[in-house]
Amino acid sequence: MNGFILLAETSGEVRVSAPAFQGISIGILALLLLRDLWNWSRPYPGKFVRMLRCLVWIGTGVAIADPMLVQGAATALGIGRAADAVLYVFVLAFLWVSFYLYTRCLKLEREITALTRHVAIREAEKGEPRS
Amino acid sequence: MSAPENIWIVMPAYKEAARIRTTLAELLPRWGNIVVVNDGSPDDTGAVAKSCGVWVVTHPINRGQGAALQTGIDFALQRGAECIVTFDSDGQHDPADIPAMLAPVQSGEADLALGSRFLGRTVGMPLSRHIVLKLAVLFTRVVSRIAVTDAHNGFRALSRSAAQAIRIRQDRMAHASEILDEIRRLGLRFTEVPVTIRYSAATLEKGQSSWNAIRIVWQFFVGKVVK
Repeated sequence: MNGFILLAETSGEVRVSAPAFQGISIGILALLLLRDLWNWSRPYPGKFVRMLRCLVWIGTGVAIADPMLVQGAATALGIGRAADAVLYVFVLAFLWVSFYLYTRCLKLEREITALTRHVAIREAEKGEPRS
Repeated sequence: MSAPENIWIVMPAYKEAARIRTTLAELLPRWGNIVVVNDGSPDDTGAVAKSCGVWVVTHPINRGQGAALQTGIDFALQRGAECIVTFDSDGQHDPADIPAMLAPVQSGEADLALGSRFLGRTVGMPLSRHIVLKLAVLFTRVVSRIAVTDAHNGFRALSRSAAQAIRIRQDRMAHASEILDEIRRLGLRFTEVPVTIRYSAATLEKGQSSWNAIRIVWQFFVGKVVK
């Protein structure tokens, strides 16, 4: 029954919800995974980044489908609580994404500089001295 | 290679309308090939430089001193420069030092001559700047493994081959460390030449804050990682 939600337990009656959240989330993640697989051979953003993204979609899907797996992983790593493990992963992911975006920004800046330089040299002017 | 027409002075300039005329007036009697790289200045830097009769290359937007230097070097190389001198536009450098800077490059003794204010002299340098520059020298010796006495001096002379070999990719102030890194990586021969650096209230006000050193170190390391 992993991944299913216990909604209420009164007078011995146990109701278990249909896993609406899981269903919708996993559906969206599956679409994202399919999109990346479909565009696998496209040059941008490269196979490495695309593979990382596929792993994120699969990992997130598995974690949503079976939260006890995350708990098991947290226990195995000595973190204890699944929520803490998820928080740590988010912190690491945030740092990685920040650095990735920073480097992308730097590369774009270099391209802007190259373009600026090209225009500047093409339009160089020699002044006339004023007495 | 002593013909002055093969020697180019490259001057990056940003918001220097108030000072550049004086700097150019000191240079122009002797050095005819001057290119001012107006780095997207919002003031009249470009117009003032043009009125002095020098070449002006204008960045439509501000890209930083490193980017401006590379633009000026590219332009000078396209015009057939055999020797290139990089020179600050704010009047901190003394044109009287140029022949001494050029001598080792023209004789073929070195690929580059690097100006050193600590071998030469400084006028009006604050103590905080002195300390930061000494720390920069230490940083350069440890990280770039190159023995210089002044790591962030914009006064340099380069042979044509050295100017072609070095590509400045650090657009902003970390370019000075990058150039030293490139000298070591490319195995270029360099020599340090004593020069005079003149600080004034105006140049200190406009110049880099000593705290900016931290940002320069960060830019330098990230620039080394990002290819």
